Amino acid sequence: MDAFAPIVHGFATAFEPARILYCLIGVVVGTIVGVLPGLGPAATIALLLPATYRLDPVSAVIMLAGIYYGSQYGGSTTAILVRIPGESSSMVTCYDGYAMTRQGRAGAALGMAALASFAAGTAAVVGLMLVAPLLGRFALAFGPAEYASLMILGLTLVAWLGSASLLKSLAMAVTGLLLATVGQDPVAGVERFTFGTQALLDGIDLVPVFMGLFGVAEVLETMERPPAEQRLPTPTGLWPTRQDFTDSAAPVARGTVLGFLLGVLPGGGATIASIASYVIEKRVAKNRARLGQGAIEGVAGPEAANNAAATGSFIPLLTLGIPANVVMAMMLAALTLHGIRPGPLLVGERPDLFWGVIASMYLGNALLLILNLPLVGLFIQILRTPYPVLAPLILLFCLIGSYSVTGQTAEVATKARLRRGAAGARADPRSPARGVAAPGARDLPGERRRLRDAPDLARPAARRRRVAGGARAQAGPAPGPGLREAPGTLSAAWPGILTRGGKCTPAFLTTLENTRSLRACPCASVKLLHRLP
Amino acid sequence: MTRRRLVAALALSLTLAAAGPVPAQEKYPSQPVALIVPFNAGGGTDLVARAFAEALKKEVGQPVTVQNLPGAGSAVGTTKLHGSKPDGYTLGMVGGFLVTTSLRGAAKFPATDLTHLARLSLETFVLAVPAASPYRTRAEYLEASRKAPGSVSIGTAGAGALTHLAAEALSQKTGARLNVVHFAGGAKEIAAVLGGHVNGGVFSQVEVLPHAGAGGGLRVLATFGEQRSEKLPEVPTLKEAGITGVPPGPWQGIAAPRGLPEPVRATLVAAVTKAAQDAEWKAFLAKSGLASHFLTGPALDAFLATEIESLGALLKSVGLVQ
Repeated sequence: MDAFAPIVHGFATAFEPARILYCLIGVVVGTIVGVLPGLGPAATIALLLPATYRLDPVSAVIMLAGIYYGSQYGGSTTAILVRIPGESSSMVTCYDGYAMTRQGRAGAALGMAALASFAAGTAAVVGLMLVAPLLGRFALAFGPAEYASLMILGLTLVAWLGSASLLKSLAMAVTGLLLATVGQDPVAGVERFTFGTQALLDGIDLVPVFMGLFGVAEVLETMERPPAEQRLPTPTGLWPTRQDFTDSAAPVARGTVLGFLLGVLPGGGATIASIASYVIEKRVAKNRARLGQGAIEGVAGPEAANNAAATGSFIPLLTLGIPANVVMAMMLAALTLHGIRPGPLLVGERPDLFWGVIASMYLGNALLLILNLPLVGLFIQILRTPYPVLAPLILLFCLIGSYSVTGQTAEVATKARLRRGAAGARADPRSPARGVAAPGARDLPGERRRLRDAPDLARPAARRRRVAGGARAQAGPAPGPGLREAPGTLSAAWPGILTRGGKCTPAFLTTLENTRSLRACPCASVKLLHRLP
Repeated sequence: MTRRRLVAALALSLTLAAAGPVPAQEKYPSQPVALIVPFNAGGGTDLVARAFAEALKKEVGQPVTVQNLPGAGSAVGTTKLHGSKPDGYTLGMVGGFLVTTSLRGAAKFPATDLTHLARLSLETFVLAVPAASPYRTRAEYLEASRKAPGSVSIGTAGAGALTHLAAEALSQKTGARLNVVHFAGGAKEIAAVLGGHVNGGVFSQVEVLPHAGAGGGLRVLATFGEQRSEKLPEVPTLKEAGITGVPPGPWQGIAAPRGLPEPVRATLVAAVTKAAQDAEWKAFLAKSGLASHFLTGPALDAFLATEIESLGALLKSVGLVQ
């Protein structure tokens, strides 16, 4: 019973009415910060830090912690709805989350993001309570060799993640490395590619880069389309289906464990955790091509991972006094303001603080779930907004977000420069929103129906065409020329290379599958190339 | 007609606006004072600035608002201070970072090209090793590096950081052959020393205090200040061993743009001097493990001159300044 006494005391501390209020303020602010792209928890906590001077340290940390894990809930909202990550840790949620929105499944994606966040957040708090001191030592044992291995693993996974073309993936990984070399060299201290300006001395921040690559590129691209096609489909159904829950259970569990462990490492954090979780989901998926096309696993896994990481990153701070990331450095500053210097002795010296903060996280996660589920219905109303109204608002938030990183116009300029290249990069055939796969992307619900109606390969071609024609009629505007290849044309044009004996070669089929350039192969030997959920 | 009327109205309003607030020769200070902190909120300099702003507010009788302008290792904020109007309404935090960024060219003006008002605090650097380390004294640690050059490592908070220069200076002045290892910030450095991935490291005293006591993960071998630290009275200083010329620690000061009118400067120096005696400010210093090392006037100028000279020589010796 004695072992539980401090925990019980912690709950008593956290559930004082005033502290419940601060916890609520924290998670509400966190949700808002998460939803607004660009405005991150670090900047917000920095702004609010002076205000916490008047609070007692326990309330201050409870509130600031709420902002951090709360922002991990909100970050997925804009990623899913308009393909702009609200936080850098929701970058990978853009891929499948936005694809789900284009299929009219925004409600399911948002609901699952909130539920996955809750499950992972709560599980991570349990982990924090049980194994905090143990994991603190694990973080210390992680040395240079381990960090180097992790980095090499990361680069390998990046190259592997883009499954369409290894060459393109490697080229983009190298581009990323080149962008990262801008600024002061961390070992020799010399300036690299700064052109002698102060603005580039700190390197290029991630936020303007992803604003430009995702948000602005998406807006420009949508505006290129005819107005009738700009509006996002009105969501059908607010909730994840039973199948969604079945598909998500394992990804959430994997994401939680992975996120928690990566969160504990100094220099780790929610962003790395979410990317790693996405890569793992892609690795273990039976049909890899499904991820990126609106698979619920691609939302549930990373959203679980970033929440678990946010909680896990408290461990080095509370047990060792070492901040694992920028947000934890802010938390350390909040404690220092009150004359508390966290370290190994904190659990013994200030059990009210240590256990109180942990207990408040249970409360905070429950509050966030209660807060976020009704918001799903509200947020999807955004999709009804006419695009000419929505687009300038998205751009405005991108600008504010970029500016708020450091309050410098140079960050905004970075985004503007990347935007041009990004619009071209998005012509990548894997992208569900554009390019040669456009008819499918424009009418994904229609395509899903078509797939459901004609799942087997044995049906006669006439029936197939009729069903496809029906889907096209629902789609409204007819697809452009060349998008729907009449069976046989390609095989006639490229005999012996793409086809052999009147049938498509396996290599050609693989290419079609990977590039998603056609939905049916030209020789009609294999009818449907990519299976959708 | 309407357009002409509009133009007339516009012209009139602009005239009125221009004529309105004539800056009268009021007695300084008549408006709020801004205090530029060239780092993010929550950093060490920011905490000192906010605490001192509270004390200064009482003396100048106007609000003192802290403005965080981070970037380029403090050069963004100090450049802004350097370019501000010398009217006494824009002040800024300065320190060792101003000297190094200016010497290295990130801040494109000499560190003396400001009106330095006072040095507020000075912290001591410490040399710490893991508690399980075989080196029990500073002499043992340095001697081991002489016997096998490069085999004993010392961590810093980053290339070009003051801790880097302190580690290099320690190596040079004692003939030790330490392997200097840079980390991205003090947090990663202390994690690496606690985990035994480097043999030791140079830290601010504040950083090591939670780990320094009995049962802690670190053993402090030396402090770099003039006198023994109040918090670590049993640890010898470098000076006791006859080692000089090592940067003693980070300092924080307050400055205004160059060309401050003399009456304003005198008012500010008086206000800053009085604020440094404020009880709450002193309590803050004690709580955060900092010591008040207040300097102003000619003593401050002399301190700055030695700081520029010694840090300049160190930067040159490590190849960061040509």
